[in-house]
Amino acid sequence: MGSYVVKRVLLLIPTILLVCVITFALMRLIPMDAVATLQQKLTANGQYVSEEYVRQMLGLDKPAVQQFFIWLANVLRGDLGTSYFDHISVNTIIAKKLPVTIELGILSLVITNCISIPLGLHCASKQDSVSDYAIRVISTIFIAVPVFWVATLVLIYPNIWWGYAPRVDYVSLFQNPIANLGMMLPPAIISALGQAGIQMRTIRTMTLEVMRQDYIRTAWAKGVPEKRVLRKYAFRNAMIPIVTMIGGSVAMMIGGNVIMENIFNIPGIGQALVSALNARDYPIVEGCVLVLSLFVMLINLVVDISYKWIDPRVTLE
Amino acid sequence: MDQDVVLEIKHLRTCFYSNGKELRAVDDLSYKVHRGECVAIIGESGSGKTVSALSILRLISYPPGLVMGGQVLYNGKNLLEMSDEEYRKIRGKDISMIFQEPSAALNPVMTIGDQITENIMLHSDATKEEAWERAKGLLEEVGIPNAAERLKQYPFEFSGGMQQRAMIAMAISCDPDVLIADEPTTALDVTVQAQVLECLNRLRRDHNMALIIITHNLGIVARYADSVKIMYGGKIVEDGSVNDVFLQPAHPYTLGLIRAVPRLDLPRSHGLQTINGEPPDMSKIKPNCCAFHFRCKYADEKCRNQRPLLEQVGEGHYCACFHKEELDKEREEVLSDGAEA
Amino acid sequence: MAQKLNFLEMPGAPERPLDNVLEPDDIMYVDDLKMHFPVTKGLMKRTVGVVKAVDGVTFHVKRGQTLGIVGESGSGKSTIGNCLLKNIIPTSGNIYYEGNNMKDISTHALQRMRKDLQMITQDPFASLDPRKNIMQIVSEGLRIHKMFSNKEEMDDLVVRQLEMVGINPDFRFRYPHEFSGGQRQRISIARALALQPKFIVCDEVVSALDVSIQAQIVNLMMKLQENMNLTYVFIGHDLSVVRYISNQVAVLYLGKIMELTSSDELYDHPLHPYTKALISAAPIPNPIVDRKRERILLKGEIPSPINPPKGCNFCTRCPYADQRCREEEPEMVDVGSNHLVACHKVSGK
Repeated sequence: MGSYVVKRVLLLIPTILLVCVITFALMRLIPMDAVATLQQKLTANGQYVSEEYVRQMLGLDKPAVQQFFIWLANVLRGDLGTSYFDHISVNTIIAKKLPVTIELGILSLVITNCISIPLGLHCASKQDSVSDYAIRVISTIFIAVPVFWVATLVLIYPNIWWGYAPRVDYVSLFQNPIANLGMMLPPAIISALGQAGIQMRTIRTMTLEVMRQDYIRTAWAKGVPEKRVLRKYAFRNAMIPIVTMIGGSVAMMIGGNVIMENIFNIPGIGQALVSALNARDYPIVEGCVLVLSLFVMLINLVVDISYKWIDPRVTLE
Repeated sequence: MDQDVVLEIKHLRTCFYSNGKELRAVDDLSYKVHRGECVAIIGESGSGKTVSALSILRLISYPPGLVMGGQVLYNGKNLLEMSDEEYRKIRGKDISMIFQEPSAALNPVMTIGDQITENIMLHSDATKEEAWERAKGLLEEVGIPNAAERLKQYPFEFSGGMQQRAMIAMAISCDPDVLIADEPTTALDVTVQAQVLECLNRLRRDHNMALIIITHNLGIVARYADSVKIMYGGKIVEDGSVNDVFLQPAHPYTLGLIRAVPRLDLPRSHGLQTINGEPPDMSKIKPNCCAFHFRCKYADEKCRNQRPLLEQVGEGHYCACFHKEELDKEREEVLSDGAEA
Repeated sequence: MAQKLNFLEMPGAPERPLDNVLEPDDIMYVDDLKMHFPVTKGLMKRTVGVVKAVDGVTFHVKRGQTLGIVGESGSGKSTIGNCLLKNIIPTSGNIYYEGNNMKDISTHALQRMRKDLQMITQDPFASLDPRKNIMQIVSEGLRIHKMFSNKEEMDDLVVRQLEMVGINPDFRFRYPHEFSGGQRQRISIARALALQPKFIVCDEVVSALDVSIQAQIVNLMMKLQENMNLTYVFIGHDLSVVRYISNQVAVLYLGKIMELTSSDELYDHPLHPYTKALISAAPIPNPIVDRKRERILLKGEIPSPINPPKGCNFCTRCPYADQRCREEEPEMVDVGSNHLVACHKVSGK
């Protein structure tokens, strides 16, 4: 087990490196950079500097390969760089914004599972009943409708009808939990709905598949009550593919929440990423992508390790 | 005699529905099981032997299957009319069942110990510790060494034979009156098969429990059964004691089956008789005919249009056939072949 | 020897070897065949052990006869079948077909030899392509080996094959799923026989079938053998079926032959304790006869072929095993009238 984790962590290194190289290259392949914008900004502030000077200052005059290794060396020292525009270190930005993104991610994950697991199990145990059909139809709708569209509707209609608008100024969870949740819940619910639809259907299919197995018949023949059959026999065995899916949906959700953060003005990494992308603020983009991809890969590792706990037949090799 | 009957099945009928068609998997099945008796149900694929057992335990799920009629009397109470909750308390306690493929029939994510103790705790007030202690004793009883450690293992850590023994331990953990074994050894190796059957038979005697063995293996039946039911096309075509059925078969199908099995104790030159045709396609059999008429050399107009009923041909020996006299003659010839040395 | 095949006259084919060992009516002679599969572990595929699936097996197969190989799971019986047809290349040992070492046969010649050597397997559901009709399935081999000159001739050949195995030729445009298990097994037989083979490996061909159908197939196979002078290697786990169809029976345990003799002799005078246990474990469908028989119950289960016991493979379960059995591997000894047995207790040496 220990050696397995070490091996997997070592395997993370080349993957992360590859992600960094690709982000780095892609950023520099997009037309325009921050130099002109920054020069204009400085000029407006009364600092008359040439574009070459700005380029030198940002280190963008060096060849891209050299830039990459300088950046990498700094990252290895724990320094993700400094934002081109407001001179705040990327470490500080991420430290401030990552918790917000994680909070939103955890909220939508919890909501997804709270909806999909009970409904999936219900549909599996009452296969082809009216409620099964109804839940499946509704889930299809949520899968089909794009989240940003729902988000826009949520912003517009309650406002027209009841004059309600979701909060747009962020407060931390620890300062004012109610205000914080009031802001975070609508986007979390919206992004959870689509995911819950997909997940519920998979849980239903997997559980039905498991319900056809011989050991379920054994459980009935033993006189095990229905609830326990569902929980201890059907769900436990259906968990294996479900956990894989939940692991995947965490990654999906981080991607999806970038949109949510922008629509609902939530100061998370997603929002920072998008505005930095627009401003070509390379250090922020590179730092955010690095942290997000590391996060996704760690989740995958946790999922793989949890197989061992769910399925005793799995040996971690 | 009759208060010894633990299980009585009366006119049981189970149908399957698909594409609007009705398929009678079990059609008017009746038999009695006495305390401590070993009853064998013999049939080929599609004979309805497994469905009949699952119907007794009400394990047929709808859709597509439905028990359409009949009674299953356990100690005089009709199991088919009980509420689910009432019947749940009987399953696994008074009537339990083991299945063909032990590796598939055990929950792969629960330890053997948890699965056995679950059964004990469901049907008694035993504490976890008491149940565990009892489970240990059961594993020893079915011949699994190192019981204490084995209880903590998962099914995949057991060999096929050991899995089936664990299944048996679980099935007998509440001292059932009836144990139904559906092809209990088909998936096992020959030498392991012998061990498991020997174990089942010993437990039957020790616990005075009735054992219903469902199988296609005539040899196993000849070795262990007291009474034999031959099923064909969802119906019992012959019913009698093991000696009657094997030595004085009264139905052409029974005689055909017995002669179709290669016998170790006879020289190769003895030859193998076959039954023509294929096992029945249940969706094509009319209710009012003899299901065997497609393959029977005695079949005539009557067999095609009328269903033969079980009639007594000897003490406790019943057979459903219109051509008993012809068969008597054939049997005399076959038996004088010296086959019964 | 019967007619010599042209591929054997190709350059590089060895001159006739082993004239002293080969018997005149041998179609195949298997000499000390071993098939070891490595067990690998980890990323680097480190070898951590070997599965000795087949571990030194020697036997003759006589032309026009049936050699039965009976064994439980893990005995290596299917592996032997695959080695005989060169589906897998054995680790060591030689297989002589028609007096020629299969090792030396080129891929090209092997391609043509496939026509002579056919295999029928257990599962008629898996071995027939569900998307091809019976006509296509049976004629496939004919087409590969160009055994007809026009379409009518092919049709004719297929119809004849199907009639021979008892399938109504009018059904030749149907698909496998429209047939029952027994009929599918007949179709597999028709497919194998279409190429006019000489030698057929039958791997558990009747195990998945119902009792009454099993008898039909066994009788069909015996009839075809007589008509076409076929040679069978019949692999199975059911001693009574194997014994019934075979002239000679080899009893296999953990990759080694325990006993090899004629079919009737094996039942009448079994010598090896494992054979005795196998015979005792197979009940006879007659209550009077069976309940009078002596029962031998073996202890435990078949050990894993990864770590076979030292000495005699059977020593862990043998009721008669002593110190010598646990240390020294018994050799195959002819105890008279071609009855070979590998047991210290029997050979008494």
